[in-house]
This record gives sequence, structure tokens and C-alpha cells, in this order.
Amino acid sequence: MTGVHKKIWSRWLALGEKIGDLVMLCVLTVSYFVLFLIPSLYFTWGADTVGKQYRDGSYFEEMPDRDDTPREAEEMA
Amino acid sequence: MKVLGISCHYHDSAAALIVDGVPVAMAQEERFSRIKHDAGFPSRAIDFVMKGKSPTSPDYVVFYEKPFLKFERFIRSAVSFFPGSYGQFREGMARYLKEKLWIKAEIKQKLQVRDDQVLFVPHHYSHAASAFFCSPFRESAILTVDGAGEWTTTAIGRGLENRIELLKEIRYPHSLGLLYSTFTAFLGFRVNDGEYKVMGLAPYGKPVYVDDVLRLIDIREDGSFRLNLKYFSFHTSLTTPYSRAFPDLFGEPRRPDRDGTFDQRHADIAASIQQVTEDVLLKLARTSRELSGSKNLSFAGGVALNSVANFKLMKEAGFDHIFIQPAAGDAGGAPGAALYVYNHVMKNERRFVMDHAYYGPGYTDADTGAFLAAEKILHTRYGDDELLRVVARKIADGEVVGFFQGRSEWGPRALGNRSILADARRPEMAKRINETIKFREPFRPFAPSVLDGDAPALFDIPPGESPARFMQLVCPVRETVRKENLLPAITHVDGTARPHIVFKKTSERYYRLLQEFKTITGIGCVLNTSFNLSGEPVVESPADAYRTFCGSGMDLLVLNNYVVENNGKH
Repeated sequence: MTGVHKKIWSRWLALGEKIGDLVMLCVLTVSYFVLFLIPSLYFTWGADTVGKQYRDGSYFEEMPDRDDTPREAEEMA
Repeated sequence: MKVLGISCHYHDSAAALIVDGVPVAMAQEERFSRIKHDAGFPSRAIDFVMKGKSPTSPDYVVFYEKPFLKFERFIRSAVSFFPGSYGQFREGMARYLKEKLWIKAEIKQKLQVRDDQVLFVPHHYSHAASAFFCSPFRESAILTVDGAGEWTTTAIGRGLENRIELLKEIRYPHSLGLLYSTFTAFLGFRVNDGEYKVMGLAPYGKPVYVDDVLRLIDIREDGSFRLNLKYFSFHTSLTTPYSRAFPDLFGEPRRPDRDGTFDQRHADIAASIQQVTEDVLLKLARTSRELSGSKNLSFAGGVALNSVANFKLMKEAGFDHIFIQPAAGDAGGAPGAALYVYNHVMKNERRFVMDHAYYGPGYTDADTGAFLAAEKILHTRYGDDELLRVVARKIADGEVVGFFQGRSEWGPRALGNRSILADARRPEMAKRINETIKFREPFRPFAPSVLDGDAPALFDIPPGESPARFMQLVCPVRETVRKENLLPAITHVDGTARPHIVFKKTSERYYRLLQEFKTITGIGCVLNTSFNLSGEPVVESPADAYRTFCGSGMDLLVLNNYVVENNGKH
């Protein structure tokens, strides 16, 4: 590939990246407002939500038990 | 068994290689990339740690957190704070989709390992292991406090032999680390970088805003707490961690471009958040002591780098010994995750105590000589004894020396191998180094390195295993020393200092330099600050050291046994 070809190719790549970012932005925006609206209503009025716990006594929570096997350590969650 | 630990994609990426339970090499990516707090995949750090021991693949590669758990927190948080979380969701989701969710594939591809060789350890277990499995304790209370892991922001538990058990936690968004970071941003410093500047600013103020800080955080007697989210926006915004209600309490934020200048109000705010942080940590530490029944504490997480608070824990939390690993923040997750798998998951006996921090790359005299020759730099080579005598004399005469030797330090502190050294007895030295060498804010204090035998006479260091081994403890300078103004360059405005205790067993050459200095001056203590310019990572190679030497007002550069004087600057 000559220098001119490389230059043209890198321009196309940069343009493709910009278009990809724009498409991702649109998808994320739509999915955020469409998918999260109903769950957010549920979490706001229907259940205990992130950061909104009020309680007497300690704010500590018990930590979940762990199996601590190599198998569990393979899990990403 | 070779276990490679990795931390990355948040801040302070690092890699650590553990061979049969013993760390043989550890390094942060920033030292190689020269990007401070580099968060990228630590390819260069991995190259270094793997080549250091063996070119073959590791048996396991362990990542320092559970990416899907963190992603769950991100999504739930975005839903919960809908629609305010849109900006954070948009930016954060792009990052997750582009890199964070594919860490397993990235590791497999870059390190050529199988699926079952890649393991994941929860963030706070990595922190806990980085402290407990490096400590000299057979059993210990464990406290981890940082910004946020997956969900956990604070955890307390206990360690026994090769087991770690975390019992209680505080969950995101309630976070002491994020509270401190919010004030860091409000005071015009960079989050995840300027927290120690807030700590350095605090002694200039009075804690008159404590009542206002307590409107942001509800603290219970056991140290557990929750934040009043009305004053914060770190859960919705990527740029500003405090909400519009925050300045109603504390006034206008300090502008980031006001380098080095501050009002009394800023110092008072810093003093107030520092005091509240210390109070919470003290309560948390006492709870961990009660839960574990231990007289030892292993403390980790970014908040464990708050060396002022660490003194309060040593004095008042009821522990005999406290261990804090030098890279207590996220970088420490790399060795922590690897040690957790080796000791706890694989049930191997512990074989390691961290008594020094020299795990980075080292450069031989031949490497250094070749560099100096290639760059045509004027230099003189000395034998060991003569070198130490010459350097000690130069420091005593008021020269500022860039001191580079052996393997680089693990963690943010320079502990004598990548250090700038000066005479702590000279009152003008702090101002000179801040203004002409490090180019940083005038209020920033300097730390001393002190011979272990001389430390108790100069500083009020509590007995027992002490974080001062790794410069993690701010303690009072002895009154006699203060009255006679013996160490003005390293005594903070409030009469404290952050000593680095030097032991012959672990830092022999540096120890001998301090002994030479003591022979000349009668004091086994020098000013020691990290070998870098403001905003840059600590130097790694002779080339980095020489570049920094040329870009600053240092008088002398020592590269192993070679000395470059001021006239050798290009």
C-alpha cells in the first residue's frame, strides 16, 4: 500500500469511527430513555433503591457468603 | 506456581507476579507509559514482571475485581437515578462496551492463556488480601475503605493464616472515599490524584466546617455511615461530583487554575473534611477490632493512604500493630488478587511478609554507564564507600541530589531508590524544592528519611509494626526537635512529619548514606521526596532520571555509582 492509499484508508477509518460513535450514542440514548423509564418508576416507588435506604441503627450490611473455589473465581460476576 | 495479578481500567493500572506465594516483581503502568495514574491495560508492566522471572506463561492471571458485578452496579445506579444519570450512562456505557466488559477476552488474547486460567477476585477482597497477605500477622482485623469497588465501598473483616473473611460492608453510593474526593474536586484538585493535597492543606486550617460536613454524612457509632445524596452528583455526573446544594454550605468552589494559592476558607474546609474522615475511620477501626478480637490491623484501599488518619488509628483505635501495604490504593489490587488466589482460593500456606518496597525494574551499573556514554553526558564513577561519602557531604553542604539506585519502589512513595534528597536542617530547603525543582504548590510539605535507631528520638512514632516503614504515617516531631528547630524543612506547619524509617536489612545502601550524613551532621535524617516533577510519575529509568534532572534545579544526579554534576546537564 502506498503512502497515498494509507492516507485515504486512515481517513475512511476515522470517518467510520466517528459514524460508529454517533450510532452508539443514538442507540444508548434511545435505550436509556425507553428501557429505563419503567424500571426507574418501579425502583423509585416500588422497591428499596440504590442509595436511598434509611434505617435506624447501623448502616452496615452483611457481606454475602463466598464459596471461594477456583470455579467461583472464574466467574466475572 | 506463577500467578499474575492485574488491575486496570479505572486508575493506577498495575501488574504483579507471584511465584510460589512470593511477589517477585510488581510495577505500575504509569512508570513505563509516563502517564500519571495510567488506567490502560498494563501491557508494559506485565512485560516487565513476566520477563523478570521467566518467559513462560503464568499458571493463572487474576483480575482485581468482578467486571460484571461492577457493570450491574452501574446499570442499577443509572436506573435508580433516572433521568439525571443520562450523562453518566452515555459516557460510562460506551466505556463498558468498548473495553471494560471484554477484559477476559483482552487478557486471553494479550497473554495467550486459556479461559480457565483467567480468574476474578472481588475488589475489596483484593484490597484485603493486599494488606493481610503482605503483613507479618498470623491473624488480623481487616479494614478496607476506598471510593467504590463493585458495590462495596467499605468492608471490615478478619484474616487468619491463609483465610480472609469479610463480614460487613457499606455499599455504593455511600462512600468515604467519594466523600473525600468530592472535597478534593471542590478545592480545585484532581480527583484520584489531589487527595493528598487536601490532606497537606488541612493543617493550615481550623475544622470550623465540621457541622456542615456532618450534614453530608450521617455517621453511626459503629462507624457505618450514609451520604446525603442531595449534596452530591458523582452518581449522575462524570465531571462534577458535588451538586448545586454543596456550595450553599461551603461557598464557591476553589478554581482549579489557582495553582498554589488558597484562602483560609479552603484550608478550613480541608481541615474539616480531614477531621470527619479521621473520626469515621477511627470508629470503623474500633468496630473491626471488636468484630475480630485482634490486636493487629491490616488496612487497605485508597483511604489508607491518608497518613494523617493512620496516626490516629495507631494511637486511638486500640491496635498494637497496623500494616498498610505501600500501594494501598487500586494498584495494590494486582498483588492482592494474585495473593488471594494463591493463599485463600488454592489453600496454600503463606510464605511472604512485605518488609520492603523494591519490586520494580532495576538497572545495573553497566546499563547506566552505557546510557551515559551514549548520551555523551559528563560523569564521574565512584566506588560504593566513596560515593556515599561524597553524596552525604554534598547534601550536608546544601545541594539537592537526585538519588537513583537499585529496583524502583512499589507504590506512590519514593523510599530511597528514586528519591530527591536534601538537608532537612535547612529552613530554606522546602521552599527551594517546591519552587525550583518540583514546581508545585508552596504549601506542600516534605517528608524525612530517618535511620531506624534515630527515629524515636526525633519523632513520636507509636511502637509496634508501623506504617512509617513505607512512609504511611504522619506523626508529631518531638518537642525538643521542634523547639531547637532541628528539622525545619520537613516539619509541617502543625509540628508533624511523615517519616520514612530506614532499616539496614532492607535498604542497606540508603541506610549507609544516612549513616554518612549522620557522621557529618550528627543527625541521621534527610529530606526525601519523590524523584519527579509535579504532575509526572516517579522516574523509572536512568533516562527518565536524567531528563528530570535537566528540567529542574537539582544540583547533582546519582545514577547507581555514577555522579552527574550540574555542568553535565544538556
